Amino acid sequence: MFRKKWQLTLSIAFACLGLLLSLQFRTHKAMIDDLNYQSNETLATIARNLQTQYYQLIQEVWDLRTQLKLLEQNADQNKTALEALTRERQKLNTAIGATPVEGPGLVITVPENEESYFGYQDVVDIVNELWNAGAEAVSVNGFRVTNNTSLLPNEDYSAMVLNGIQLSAPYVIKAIGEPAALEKGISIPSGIIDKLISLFKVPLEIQQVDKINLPAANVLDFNYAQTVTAPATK
Amino acid sequence: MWLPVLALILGFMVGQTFAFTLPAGFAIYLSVAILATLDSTLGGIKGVMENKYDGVILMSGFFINGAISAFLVFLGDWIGVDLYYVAIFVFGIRIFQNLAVIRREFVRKYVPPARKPDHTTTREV
Repeated sequence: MFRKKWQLTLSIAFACLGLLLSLQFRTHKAMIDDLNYQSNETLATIARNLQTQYYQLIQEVWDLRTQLKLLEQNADQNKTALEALTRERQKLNTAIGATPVEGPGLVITVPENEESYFGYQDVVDIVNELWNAGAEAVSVNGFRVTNNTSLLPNEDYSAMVLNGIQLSAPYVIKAIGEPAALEKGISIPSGIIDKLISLFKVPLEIQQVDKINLPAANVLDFNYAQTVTAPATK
Repeated sequence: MWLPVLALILGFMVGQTFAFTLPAGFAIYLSVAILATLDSTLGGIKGVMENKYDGVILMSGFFINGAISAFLVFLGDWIGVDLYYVAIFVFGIRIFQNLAVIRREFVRKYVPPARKPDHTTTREV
Protein backbone atom coordinates (compact mmCIF):
# COMPACT_ATOMS: atom_id res chain seq x y z
CA MET A 1 0.00 0.00 0.00
CA PHE A 2 2.66 2.47 0.97
CA ARG A 3 4.95 1.84 -1.92
CA LYS A 4 6.86 5.02 -1.36
CA LYS A 5 8.31 5.92 1.97
CA TRP A 6 6.80 9.37 2.17
CA GLN A 7 3.19 8.35 1.68
CA LEU A 8 2.47 7.20 5.24
CA THR A 9 3.62 10.25 7.14
CA LEU A 10 2.26 12.69 4.58
CA SER A 11 -1.11 10.95 4.68
CA ILE A 12 -1.14 11.21 8.47
CA ALA A 13 -0.34 14.90 8.23
CA PHE A 14 -3.07 15.44 5.68
CA ALA A 15 -5.61 13.52 7.74
CA CYS A 16 -4.79 15.67 10.77
CA LEU A 17 -5.08 18.80 8.62
CA GLY A 18 -8.48 17.69 7.37
CA LEU A 19 -9.60 17.04 10.93
CA LEU A 20 -8.43 20.47 12.05
CA LEU A 21 -10.07 22.12 9.05
CA SER A 22 -13.42 20.53 9.72
CA LEU A 23 -13.19 21.43 13.40
CA GLN A 24 -12.39 25.01 12.47
CA PHE A 25 -15.22 24.97 9.96
CA ARG A 26 -17.68 23.98 12.62
CA THR A 27 -16.25 26.32 15.22
CA HIS A 28 -16.48 29.16 12.75
CA LYS A 29 -20.07 28.30 12.06
CA ALA A 30 -20.74 28.37 15.80
CA MET A 31 -18.92 31.70 16.01
CA ILE A 32 -21.14 33.22 13.31
CA ASP A 33 -24.16 32.31 15.39
CA ASP A 34 -22.56 33.60 18.58
CA LEU A 35 -23.50 37.19 19.39
CA ASN A 36 -20.15 37.80 21.11
CA TYR A 37 -18.35 37.65 17.78
CA GLN A 38 -20.65 39.82 15.72
CA SER A 39 -19.63 43.23 14.46
CA ASN A 40 -21.11 46.30 16.10
CA GLU A 41 -23.18 47.13 13.02
CA THR A 42 -24.72 43.68 12.95
CA LEU A 43 -25.43 43.85 16.66
CA ALA A 44 -27.02 47.27 16.27
CA THR A 45 -29.23 45.97 13.47
CA ILE A 46 -30.20 42.95 15.50
CA ALA A 47 -30.96 45.12 18.51
CA ARG A 48 -33.03 47.51 16.42
CA ASN A 49 -34.97 44.66 14.85
CA LEU A 50 -35.60 43.13 18.23
CA GLN A 51 -36.77 46.44 19.62
CA THR A 52 -39.16 46.96 16.72
CA GLN A 53 -40.43 43.45 17.18
CA TYR A 54 -40.81 44.06 20.91
CA TYR A 55 -42.96 47.14 20.37
CA GLN A 56 -44.98 45.35 17.74
CA LEU A 57 -45.61 42.51 20.13
CA ILE A 58 -46.62 44.91 22.91
CA GLN A 59 -49.01 46.56 20.48
CA GLU A 60 -50.37 43.17 19.56
CA VAL A 61 -50.87 42.25 23.21
CA TRP A 62 -52.88 45.43 23.76
CA ASP A 63 -54.93 44.86 20.65
CA LEU A 64 -55.70 41.34 21.72
CA ARG A 65 -56.60 42.48 25.22
CA THR A 66 -59.02 45.04 23.83
CA GLN A 67 -60.50 42.41 21.61
CA LEU A 68 -60.85 40.03 24.54
CA LYS A 69 -62.61 42.69 26.58
CA LEU A 70 -65.01 43.41 23.74
CA LEU A 71 -65.74 39.75 23.27
CA GLU A 72 -66.33 39.30 26.98
CA GLN A 73 -68.74 42.24 27.00
CA ASN A 74 -70.55 40.80 24.02
CA ALA A 75 -70.74 37.43 25.71
CA ASP A 76 -72.13 39.06 28.86
CA GLN A 77 -74.73 40.91 26.85
CA ASN A 78 -75.66 37.77 25.00
CA LYS A 79 -75.92 35.88 28.25
CA THR A 80 -78.13 38.53 29.82
CA ALA A 81 -80.32 38.62 26.72
CA LEU A 82 -80.53 34.86 26.70
CA GLU A 83 -81.51 34.75 30.38
CA ALA A 84 -84.17 37.39 29.84
CA LEU A 85 -85.53 35.49 26.86
CA THR A 86 -85.54 32.24 28.80
CA ARG A 87 -87.47 33.85 31.65
CA GLU A 88 -89.92 35.39 29.21
CA ARG A 89 -90.42 32.07 27.50
CA GLN A 90 -91.09 30.28 30.79
CA LYS A 91 -93.59 32.97 31.71
CA LEU A 92 -95.40 32.69 28.40
CA ASN A 93 -95.39 28.90 28.51
CA THR A 94 -96.92 29.03 31.96
CA ALA A 95 -99.51 31.56 30.83
CA ILE A 96 -100.72 29.56 27.83
CA GLY A 97 -100.43 26.30 29.76
CA ALA A 98 -97.80 24.76 27.55
CA THR A 99 -95.83 23.30 30.45
CA PRO A 100 -96.91 21.40 33.55
CA VAL A 101 -96.62 23.54 36.67
CA GLU A 102 -96.51 22.89 40.37
CA GLY A 103 -96.79 25.01 43.48
CA PRO A 104 -98.92 25.76 46.53
CA GLY A 105 -102.55 26.55 46.08
CA LEU A 106 -106.15 25.77 46.70
CA VAL A 107 -108.27 22.69 45.95
CA ILE A 108 -112.04 23.12 45.76
CA THR A 109 -113.94 19.86 45.69
CA VAL A 110 -117.67 19.60 44.86
CA PRO A 111 -118.81 16.06 45.68
CA GLU A 112 -121.70 14.44 43.89
CA ASN A 113 -124.99 15.29 45.50
CA GLU A 114 -128.65 14.84 44.60
CA GLU A 115 -130.21 17.76 46.40
CA SER A 116 -128.56 20.79 44.92
CA TYR A 117 -127.78 21.73 41.36
CA PHE A 118 -124.18 22.57 40.49
CA GLY A 119 -123.80 23.67 36.88
CA TYR A 120 -121.22 24.87 34.44
CA GLN A 121 -121.93 28.50 35.25
CA ASP A 122 -120.89 27.88 38.84
CA VAL A 123 -117.59 26.43 37.71
CA VAL A 124 -117.04 29.42 35.43
CA ASP A 125 -117.80 31.75 38.31
CA ILE A 126 -115.43 29.93 40.64
CA VAL A 127 -112.65 29.98 38.08
CA ASN A 128 -113.22 33.67 37.45
CA GLU A 129 -113.12 34.34 41.18
CA LEU A 130 -109.89 32.37 41.41
CA TRP A 131 -108.29 34.37 38.57
CA ASN A 132 -109.50 37.48 40.28
CA ALA A 133 -107.97 36.39 43.58
CA GLY A 134 -104.56 36.01 41.96
CA ALA A 135 -104.45 32.41 40.77
CA GLU A 136 -101.63 31.73 38.35
CA ALA A 137 -102.80 28.40 36.94
CA VAL A 138 -106.12 26.65 37.24
CA SER A 139 -107.40 23.23 36.32
CA VAL A 140 -110.85 21.64 36.39
CA ASN A 141 -111.00 17.88 36.91
CA GLY A 142 -107.40 17.62 35.78
CA PHE A 143 -107.84 19.76 32.65
CA ARG A 144 -105.76 22.90 32.55
CA VAL A 145 -107.81 26.03 32.05
CA THR A 146 -106.13 28.27 29.46
CA ASN A 147 -107.02 31.12 27.15
CA ASN A 148 -108.87 28.85 24.73
CA THR A 149 -110.67 26.64 27.21
CA SER A 150 -114.40 26.34 26.59
CA LEU A 151 -116.81 25.26 29.27
CA LEU A 152 -120.34 24.56 28.13
CA PRO A 153 -123.35 22.62 29.38
CA ASN A 154 -124.33 19.41 27.66
CA GLU A 155 -127.65 19.12 25.82
CA ASP A 156 -129.92 18.55 28.80
CA TYR A 157 -127.92 20.70 31.20
CA SER A 158 -127.23 17.67 33.39
CA ALA A 159 -123.46 17.90 33.06
CA MET A 160 -120.79 20.18 31.67
CA VAL A 161 -118.47 19.83 28.68
CA LEU A 162 -114.95 21.17 28.86
CA ASN A 163 -113.16 21.44 25.51
CA GLY A 164 -115.53 18.84 24.14
CA ILE A 165 -115.00 16.38 26.99
CA GLN A 166 -117.88 15.70 29.30
CA LEU A 167 -117.08 16.11 32.98
CA SER A 168 -118.89 14.41 35.84
CA ALA A 169 -119.03 14.88 39.58
CA PRO A 170 -117.15 15.17 41.78
CA TYR A 171 -115.73 18.34 40.37
CA VAL A 172 -112.26 19.25 41.51
CA ILE A 173 -110.98 22.76 40.81
CA LYS A 174 -107.32 23.28 41.54
CA ALA A 175 -105.62 26.66 41.51
CA ILE A 176 -101.97 27.57 42.06
CA GLY A 177 -101.36 30.78 43.92
CA GLU A 178 -100.82 32.05 47.41
CA PRO A 179 -103.25 29.67 49.29
CA ALA A 180 -104.39 32.08 52.00
CA ALA A 181 -104.98 34.92 49.56
CA LEU A 182 -106.89 32.62 47.20
CA GLU A 183 -109.13 31.34 49.94
CA LYS A 184 -109.76 34.80 51.25
CA GLY A 185 -110.47 36.04 47.73
CA ILE A 186 -113.09 33.46 46.86
CA SER A 187 -114.88 33.27 50.19
CA ILE A 188 -115.80 36.94 50.47
CA PRO A 189 -119.34 37.39 51.82
CA SER A 190 -121.98 37.26 49.07
CA GLY A 191 -119.33 35.95 46.70
CA ILE A 192 -119.90 32.87 44.61
CA ILE A 193 -118.70 30.41 47.25
CA ASP A 194 -120.74 32.11 49.96
CA LYS A 195 -123.82 31.97 47.74
CA LEU A 196 -123.28 28.34 46.78
CA ILE A 197 -122.85 27.26 50.35
CA SER A 198 -125.48 29.36 52.06
CA LEU A 199 -128.17 29.72 49.38
CA PHE A 200 -127.85 26.57 47.29
CA LYS A 201 -126.49 24.27 49.99
CA VAL A 202 -123.76 22.86 47.83
CA PRO A 203 -121.38 20.80 50.02
CA LEU A 204 -118.18 22.54 48.91
CA GLU A 205 -114.85 21.64 50.41
CA ILE A 206 -112.04 24.17 50.27
CA GLN A 207 -108.55 22.99 51.11
CA GLN A 208 -105.21 24.78 51.17
CA VAL A 209 -102.47 22.55 49.77
CA ASP A 210 -98.70 22.97 49.83
CA LYS A 211 -98.08 21.40 46.51
CA ILE A 212 -100.34 20.98 43.52
CA ASN A 213 -99.29 19.52 40.17
CA LEU A 214 -101.13 20.85 37.16
CA PRO A 215 -100.71 19.16 33.76
CA ALA A 216 -100.00 20.95 30.52
CA ALA A 217 -102.79 21.81 28.11
CA ASN A 218 -102.86 21.32 24.38
CA VAL A 219 -101.56 24.51 22.81
CA LEU A 220 -103.06 25.81 19.60
CA ASP A 221 -101.09 26.23 16.44
CA PHE A 222 -101.63 29.83 15.45
CA ASN A 223 -102.22 29.42 11.75
CA TYR A 224 -104.43 32.41 10.97
CA ALA A 225 -103.78 34.92 13.68
CA GLN A 226 -100.79 36.92 12.53
CA THR A 227 -98.96 39.20 14.85
CA VAL A 228 -99.51 42.83 13.89
CA THR A 229 -96.41 44.93 14.13
CA ALA A 230 -97.32 48.15 15.81
CA PRO A 231 -97.04 50.96 13.28
CA ALA A 232 -94.59 53.69 14.09
CA THR A 233 -96.13 56.61 15.94
CA LYS A 234 -96.87 59.49 13.65
CA MET B 1 -0.18 10.38 -5.00
CA TRP B 2 -3.92 10.22 -4.30
CA LEU B 3 -3.48 8.77 -0.84
CA PRO B 4 -2.84 12.14 0.92
CA VAL B 5 -5.90 13.64 -0.78
CA LEU B 6 -8.02 10.69 0.40
CA ALA B 7 -6.56 11.13 3.88
CA LEU B 8 -7.54 14.82 3.83
CA ILE B 9 -11.12 14.00 2.87
CA LEU B 10 -11.28 11.20 5.45
CA GLY B 11 -10.02 13.52 8.19
CA PHE B 12 -12.60 16.13 7.20
CA MET B 13 -15.42 13.57 7.31
CA VAL B 14 -14.31 12.30 10.72
CA GLY B 15 -14.24 15.87 12.01
CA GLN B 16 -17.78 16.47 10.67
CA THR B 17 -19.11 13.36 12.38
CA PHE B 18 -17.71 14.37 15.76
CA ALA B 19 -20.52 15.08 18.16
CA PHE B 20 -18.79 17.88 20.05
CA THR B 21 -18.11 21.41 18.89
CA LEU B 22 -15.30 23.56 20.21
CA PRO B 23 -16.39 26.74 21.96
CA ALA B 24 -16.43 29.79 19.70
CA GLY B 25 -13.55 31.31 21.66
CA PHE B 26 -11.23 28.55 20.42
CA ALA B 27 -11.65 29.55 16.80
CA ILE B 28 -8.79 32.02 16.85
CA TYR B 29 -6.26 29.48 18.18
CA LEU B 30 -7.50 26.81 15.85
CA SER B 31 -7.16 29.08 12.83
CA VAL B 32 -3.51 29.81 13.62
CA ALA B 33 -2.84 26.13 14.27
CA ILE B 34 -4.36 25.35 10.89
CA LEU B 35 -2.08 27.85 9.20
CA ALA B 36 0.93 26.24 10.88
CA THR B 37 -0.09 22.71 9.94
CA LEU B 38 -0.93 23.79 6.40
CA ASP B 39 2.55 25.20 6.14
CA SER B 40 4.02 21.93 7.42
CA THR B 41 2.06 19.76 4.97
CA LEU B 42 2.96 22.02 2.06
CA GLY B 43 6.56 21.74 3.23
CA GLY B 44 6.12 17.97 3.12
CA ILE B 45 4.85 18.12 -0.47
CA LYS B 46 7.74 20.38 -1.31
CA GLY B 47 10.11 17.80 0.18
CA VAL B 48 8.55 15.05 -1.93
CA MET B 49 8.89 17.15 -5.06
CA GLU B 50 12.51 17.96 -4.31
CA ASN B 51 13.28 14.39 -3.21
CA LYS B 52 14.43 15.71 0.17
CA TYR B 53 11.48 14.35 2.13
CA ASP B 54 11.94 13.39 5.79
CA GLY B 55 8.95 11.95 7.65
CA VAL B 56 10.32 12.78 11.11
CA ILE B 57 10.75 16.43 10.24
CA LEU B 58 7.25 16.61 8.76
CA MET B 59 5.57 14.98 11.78
CA SER B 60 7.52 16.98 14.34
CA GLY B 61 7.01 20.20 12.40
CA PHE B 62 3.32 19.49 11.96
CA PHE B 63 2.47 18.95 15.59
CA ILE B 64 5.01 21.19 17.29
CA ASN B 65 4.43 24.14 14.95
CA GLY B 66 0.68 23.81 15.34
CA ALA B 67 0.83 23.60 19.13
CA ILE B 68 3.38 26.38 19.48
CA SER B 69 1.54 28.78 17.19
CA ALA B 70 -1.71 28.27 19.10
CA PHE B 71 0.17 28.67 22.36
CA LEU B 72 1.83 31.85 21.11
CA VAL B 73 -1.52 33.37 20.25
CA PHE B 74 -2.79 32.39 23.68
CA LEU B 75 0.28 33.96 25.25
CA GLY B 76 -0.24 37.09 23.17
CA ASP B 77 -3.80 37.33 24.42
CA TRP B 78 -2.52 36.93 27.91
CA ILE B 79 0.12 39.65 27.80
CA GLY B 80 -1.82 41.94 25.50
CA VAL B 81 0.31 41.68 22.36
CA ASP B 82 -1.42 40.67 19.18
CA LEU B 83 0.83 37.74 18.27
CA TYR B 84 -2.11 36.45 16.25
CA TYR B 85 -1.21 38.75 13.38
CA VAL B 86 2.44 37.80 13.61
CA ALA B 87 1.58 34.13 13.29
CA ILE B 88 -0.72 34.80 10.33
CA PHE B 89 1.94 36.93 8.66
CA VAL B 90 4.80 34.45 9.11
CA PHE B 91 2.85 31.34 8.17
CA GLY B 92 1.17 33.11 5.30
CA ILE B 93 4.52 34.05 3.80
CA ARG B 94 5.86 30.54 4.31
CA ILE B 95 2.78 28.98 2.73
CA PHE B 96 3.18 31.11 -0.36
CA GLN B 97 6.91 30.32 -0.53
CA ASN B 98 6.21 26.59 -0.29
CA LEU B 99 3.51 26.87 -2.93
CA ALA B 100 5.88 28.71 -5.22
CA VAL B 101 8.55 26.02 -4.88
CA ILE B 102 5.97 23.26 -5.44
CA ARG B 103 4.68 25.02 -8.52
CA ARG B 104 8.15 25.38 -9.99
CA GLU B 105 9.09 21.79 -9.29
CA PHE B 106 5.80 20.69 -10.85
CA VAL B 107 6.40 22.76 -13.93
CA ARG B 108 10.01 21.55 -14.18
CA LYS B 109 8.99 17.91 -13.87
CA TYR B 110 5.76 17.61 -15.81
CA VAL B 111 5.43 20.54 -18.22
CA PRO B 112 7.67 20.36 -21.24
CA PRO B 113 9.67 23.57 -21.80
CA ALA B 114 7.92 25.91 -24.17
CA ARG B 115 11.07 27.28 -25.70
CA LYS B 116 14.56 26.01 -26.21
CA PRO B 117 16.57 25.84 -23.01
CA ASP B 118 19.14 28.58 -22.80
CA HIS B 119 22.28 28.53 -20.74
CA THR B 120 20.72 29.42 -17.41
CA THR B 121 19.51 26.52 -15.33
CA THR B 122 16.86 28.38 -13.34
CA ARG B 123 13.92 30.18 -14.73
CA GLU B 124 12.47 33.06 -12.84
CA VAL B 125 8.87 34.12 -13.22
